[in-house]
Amino acid sequence: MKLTREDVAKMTLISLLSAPPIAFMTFDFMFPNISTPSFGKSLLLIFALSILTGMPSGYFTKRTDLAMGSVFIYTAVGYALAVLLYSAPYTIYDLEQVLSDFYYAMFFRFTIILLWLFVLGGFMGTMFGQMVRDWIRREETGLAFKDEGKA
Amino acid sequence: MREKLLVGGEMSILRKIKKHWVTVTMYVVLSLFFTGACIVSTNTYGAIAQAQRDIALQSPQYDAEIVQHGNLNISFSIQLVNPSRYTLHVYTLSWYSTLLNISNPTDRVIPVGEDYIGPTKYLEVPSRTTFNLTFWTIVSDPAIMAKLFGFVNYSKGLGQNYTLETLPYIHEFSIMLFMGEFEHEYDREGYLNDLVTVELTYSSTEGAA
Repeated sequence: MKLTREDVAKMTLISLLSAPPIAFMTFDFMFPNISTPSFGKSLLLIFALSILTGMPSGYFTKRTDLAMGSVFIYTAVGYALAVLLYSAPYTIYDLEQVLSDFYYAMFFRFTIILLWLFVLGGFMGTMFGQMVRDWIRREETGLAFKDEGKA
Repeated sequence: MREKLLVGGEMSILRKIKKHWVTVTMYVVLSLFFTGACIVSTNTYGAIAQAQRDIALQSPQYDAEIVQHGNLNISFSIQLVNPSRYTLHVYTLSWYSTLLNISNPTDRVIPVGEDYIGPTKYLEVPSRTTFNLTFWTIVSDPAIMAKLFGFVNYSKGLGQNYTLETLPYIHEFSIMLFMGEFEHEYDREGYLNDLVTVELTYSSTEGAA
């Protein structure tokens, strides 16, 4: 299983573009009262959006292993981004507050369930994305041959 | 046509983006929307953290003076500075004025004045303003006045020349406020409550906290 430069570039792009929804959902899960818009800690909404976020990974990546690998990468990048967003106001003047609250909020407030939803939703999204791509390709091929037959 | 299909698998990323421009645009819009949401939310979070640091009590002043019929007027005022962009909603507010009498083991604290405002009384501090809070009470209860005179006389025996106006009254002030209109089921998740709650206290013996 070799990775081409195109694969790496594609995975990087997907990781960068899919990370913001993950970051926002994580941040919103921590602070649903101050985030805009807010999902109000609805796990169903989070799961639905995770599926949507995973779809491009499957749609643009032909290899299933790479598509699923992208899900892990963008979940990790998004989660790290959420930690940065969380730390932003405090890093300037109160680092102790970041560390104590960081562990409390990020690791003890059901984030395992959250990460599991992101990954599971991402995998499902990947499969949907691949199904959609294959369906479009079949339709395109069918139409192309139909046109050729007419000509 | 067959050649075209075979070459399809080796297209560069840019050519693929051009081919799937509708899907790519939708994907980029989704990503940008959540990037914007992240920025707005972090900005709100930053403003709240800043407000927690900047909202403060300042310029406390207290006084005691003899008024008509020999009664005692105890007053206290303090400023609440709100430089934040959020309106503050007062949840509770209390002021207690006492005199500590350590020579009396059974009646150490002599209460001279108090005031309390609870959540039912709607009071708010507009954004970017300094709000003055003033309290006063007239002490006319003979029992309390007798205790105060007793303290003055007892102190005189120890070489301290106090009058009712110069007694070392202690003023304790505390206020609890909620920032803005951040709605959530706060009873269920206390940490969210802490995020938008401002609690300030002032004691004439210890200062502001």
